Amino acid sequence: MSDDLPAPASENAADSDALLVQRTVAGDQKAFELLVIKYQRRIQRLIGRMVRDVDLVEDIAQETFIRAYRALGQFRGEAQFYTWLYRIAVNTAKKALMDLKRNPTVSENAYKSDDDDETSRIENELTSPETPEAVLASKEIANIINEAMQDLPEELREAITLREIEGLSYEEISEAMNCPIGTVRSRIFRAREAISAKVRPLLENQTGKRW
Amino acid sequence: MKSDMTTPEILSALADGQASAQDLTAALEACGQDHAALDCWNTYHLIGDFLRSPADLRACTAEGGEIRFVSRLGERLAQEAVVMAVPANAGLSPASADIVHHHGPASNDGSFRWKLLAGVASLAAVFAIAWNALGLMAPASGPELAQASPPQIVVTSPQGPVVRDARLEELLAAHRQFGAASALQDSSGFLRNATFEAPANAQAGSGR
Repeated sequence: MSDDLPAPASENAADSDALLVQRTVAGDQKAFELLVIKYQRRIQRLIGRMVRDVDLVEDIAQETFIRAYRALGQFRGEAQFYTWLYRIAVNTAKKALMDLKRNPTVSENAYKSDDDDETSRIENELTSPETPEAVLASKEIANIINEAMQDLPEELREAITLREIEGLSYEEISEAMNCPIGTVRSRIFRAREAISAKVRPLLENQTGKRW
Repeated sequence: MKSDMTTPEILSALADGQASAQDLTAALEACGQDHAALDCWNTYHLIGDFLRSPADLRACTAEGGEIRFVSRLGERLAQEAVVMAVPANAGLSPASADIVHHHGPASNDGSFRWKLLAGVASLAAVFAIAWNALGLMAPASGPELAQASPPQIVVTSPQGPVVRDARLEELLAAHRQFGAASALQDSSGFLRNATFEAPANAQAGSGR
């Protein structure tokens, strides 16, 4: 689970989290919505490693964000927001699993097997709650993003790679690419826009209507 | 950051922690007015998440899972009797006037039972230490009784007057034997004198 924790180089992102937390505490619910959009996938992935049932994963993730929202006034900012949220998610998932153990009517499918042998892995794959459509859609998104990355001009691909995969700050990318920070910001933005332009139609087709 | 950036530019910078407070205000306003801004924010983070780890993102990205998630959460948050405490932070204008202070425990607080247990254990430890400390500081009556000097008397002995324990004197008196007087001291009354006089008939026989 350690790869779910924030990368050390994302201190600037943590600064923006702090700004969003401040705004949320001041009563701007839209700021919290931005935090939810930003972290929901990581939180669901984290919970999905503890709980097998995908519906339960979503319920626990919802509960995690609700609890975080309630307690946000007590967040002192000593830790990074995601670290704090991570702990809430783990505690919420553990509590949900304890409740499941007390409730015999709940299917055992909800539990994630700790065994990692071949048999249990095959069994998990066979009983995976992900539908074939979900797996296909995910593969499609991954393929499109990869193709879009390949189609990017070299300097845009390098900039977005250093930022998103290597986790470097704008200052570090500026040094690595030997260009001003403003250029780094512009290149990363243009890379994101180029990839988004290819991903958005797929996302819209999946839902028909966004938000 | 320049203030003439477009909303997507600001959101891109914000995603990387490079947006100023003014940019953030503009971005939040844009997100409140236009769902395209939220779409943009979501897509930027989706791209980042996929680039970092394309696996394990199936359930929440497929079939509009992320949108359904945020919508559902928004409904629940709207029903919440919200909970925020407004800080005395100047420059930030609360968007909602209906703010209820939440006094419950933090979600990541430990269980109250463990706190209670820890408190009781601490009190017990303090009580035990205080009890021992009081025991050490209190006057020790037992040992002083043992050290009290027994009643003493002065007895006359051949060596002159001697101070003796009265209990010892009682013990000696109880065990004094009434044997023949000896040249030794009275306390040796158990000794018997040896005689070397021969019997009278033996003397007569030997005189013949």
